[in-house]
Amino acid sequence: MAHQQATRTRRVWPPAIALGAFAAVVLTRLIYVQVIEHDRYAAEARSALHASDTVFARRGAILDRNGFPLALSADTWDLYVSSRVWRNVESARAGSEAIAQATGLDAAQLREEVRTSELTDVLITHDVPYRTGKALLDADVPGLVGLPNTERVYPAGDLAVSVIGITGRENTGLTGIEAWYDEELRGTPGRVIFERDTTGSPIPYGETFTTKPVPGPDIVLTVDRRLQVAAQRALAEAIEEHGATGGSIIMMDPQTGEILALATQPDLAFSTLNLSDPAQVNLLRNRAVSDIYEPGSVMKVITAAAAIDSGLVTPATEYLDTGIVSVFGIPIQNWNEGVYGEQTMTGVLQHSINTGAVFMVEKLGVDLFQHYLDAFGFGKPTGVDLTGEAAGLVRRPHDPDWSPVDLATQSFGQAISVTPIQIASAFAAAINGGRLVQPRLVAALILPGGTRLDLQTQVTGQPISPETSATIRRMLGDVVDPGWYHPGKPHSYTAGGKSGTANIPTDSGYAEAQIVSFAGFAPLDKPRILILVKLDENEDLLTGTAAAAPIFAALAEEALAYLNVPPDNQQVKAP
Amino acid sequence: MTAIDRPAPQTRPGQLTLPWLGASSWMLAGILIVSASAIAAVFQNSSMTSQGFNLEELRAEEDVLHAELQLLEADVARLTSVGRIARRAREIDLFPGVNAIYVTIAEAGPAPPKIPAEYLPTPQEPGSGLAP
Repeated sequence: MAHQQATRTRRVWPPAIALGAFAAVVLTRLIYVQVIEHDRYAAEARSALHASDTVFARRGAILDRNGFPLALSADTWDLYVSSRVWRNVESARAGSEAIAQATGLDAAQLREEVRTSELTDVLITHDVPYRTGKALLDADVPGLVGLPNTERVYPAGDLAVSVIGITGRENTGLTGIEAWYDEELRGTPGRVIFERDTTGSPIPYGETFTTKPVPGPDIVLTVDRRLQVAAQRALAEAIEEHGATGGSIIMMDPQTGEILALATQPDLAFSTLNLSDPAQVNLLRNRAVSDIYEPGSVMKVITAAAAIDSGLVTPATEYLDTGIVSVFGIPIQNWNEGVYGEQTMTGVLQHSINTGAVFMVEKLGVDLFQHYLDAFGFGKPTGVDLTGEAAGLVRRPHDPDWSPVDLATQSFGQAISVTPIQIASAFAAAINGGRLVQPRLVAALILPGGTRLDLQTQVTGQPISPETSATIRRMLGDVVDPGWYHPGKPHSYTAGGKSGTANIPTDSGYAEAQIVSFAGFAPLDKPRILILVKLDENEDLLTGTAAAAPIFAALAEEALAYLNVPPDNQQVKAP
Repeated sequence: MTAIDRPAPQTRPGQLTLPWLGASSWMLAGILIVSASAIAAVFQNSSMTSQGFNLEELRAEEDVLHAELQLLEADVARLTSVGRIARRAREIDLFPGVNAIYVTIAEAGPAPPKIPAEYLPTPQEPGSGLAP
């Protein structure tokens, strides 16, 4: 029997090669996908399976210096409706009516909004009060989903709005302390990672990973709510009385730079806040740190401090006032065109004599006076912890339009523009021993665990010596207590201070409108409080002494009594 | 008649036998242990699941209580605000004092109000606590 022998053929090779090549491609691809690009594909698979949500941390509270909350966060709900559930007419009707009854929304409009939305979960309202939202969610309203959120509440009402500032929709600080300390206040958000189905909804009982949010620290302000109330009330009354368009009051501890109260007008109010109103948007800035003005005769204090510190004059140095002085051919007169004759430097401050300030600055010269302006912090921000601080404007010798007349006018507060906080800071340095301290609004941070971090006073310079500062205090004491009536003298305390009245500069000179101010401190020997009162464009055209000084006197009296500072000017001994 | 020539089962004294199952006591014990272990695992799993639910419920309750606490704190703050106190004072005919006369006496003043230490300002004398 013959065996059929297999014959060698090459026909098997082409399919074998094709299959082998295919296998090689598949193998290569497998290695590429499962080994080389493993991490990327694993991540893609995880992201397809998992979804995550940010859990916002509770925003830290803002407290006054004694721990009273001025702004804190309360829990609220953002309410969503599942449009799939509301495709059922009965569910939509029942759900919309329940929501409308609790929130005041219109039921029909609500149904229409959800029906026309392309989203699965439609946001219908946010920041619903906690108890209202909880009651709705507990009632199992068809299709209703609630996500927790927080909103700012202001237990003290419209107090210190320009200091505290406002927050936006996403609980982000927009102005004031809310903006300056936004990163700290917002805390660390948490995260929830969950398994989701094809529609993106969480799979019930699926895997969930949660990172808890860490609340932001509470911020303790240097502001005292009672002094803030007093400052706001006094400013509102003064604006009303003098027909002013606005103003500022700053109360500060001159030794530490802590701002005890800061009131500005016009200002926002939490109770009527509406940022879609352009007029309100214009009020977002804090005028005490962002608006500049010519300080007028308050500047004579700085000129006198510079002249005394450099040893060029003493309080008793005499000169002859003829009522006018010519600087490079330009006549400069006193504010009331008065002639005071022979005067000391103390008299220059008491009578606010312009020619006396020019006398001192001419002795100082350009370079030395500019040096003192820099040392007192003019022309640069003070560093106060508020957004939008202006640097002020100081005309310098190297400026193209500078003239020697600027040197003369700067000595009594013209050709120089400052912010209220800047002049308060410089004035504090003049009377606190000569230290330029950085003004500040925050005293401490309280971490969620209760640890308190106190912020320290920053001394940024020593423009004048302690001896010069003591001399300036005595001279300013003589201004407020000159031997005749002065409206800036508190009833029960010794005090010092200086007024300023300056017309508002325009492109063509000066307008009739004026800004009046008074910077004062008390008690005289150991100042505990410094108060700057500034009124804008007062219709009655009263001077700083007549309009602003009485406000200082009343506020100093009230504030020092509140701060338990014993009266040093009028007291009765118990028998 | 065929004699039954099968030896009687060998038992040790005290050994339980289950002739109808053909199992020894060792086997029975083994079955019991395995069953008990399985049941214990089921109970443990069930217990952990229910405790997990309880934990979730407690966490939810904690969140609710925390939210309520925040609302109460806000209420307290609102009720003790200066504006409200001033309004209430006016309602009961209280007015700020005028023309105060200060009397110096040789006695210590009243103790300061007790408030939580974390909210107390750091005691500072004027000029103290300055950065170098």
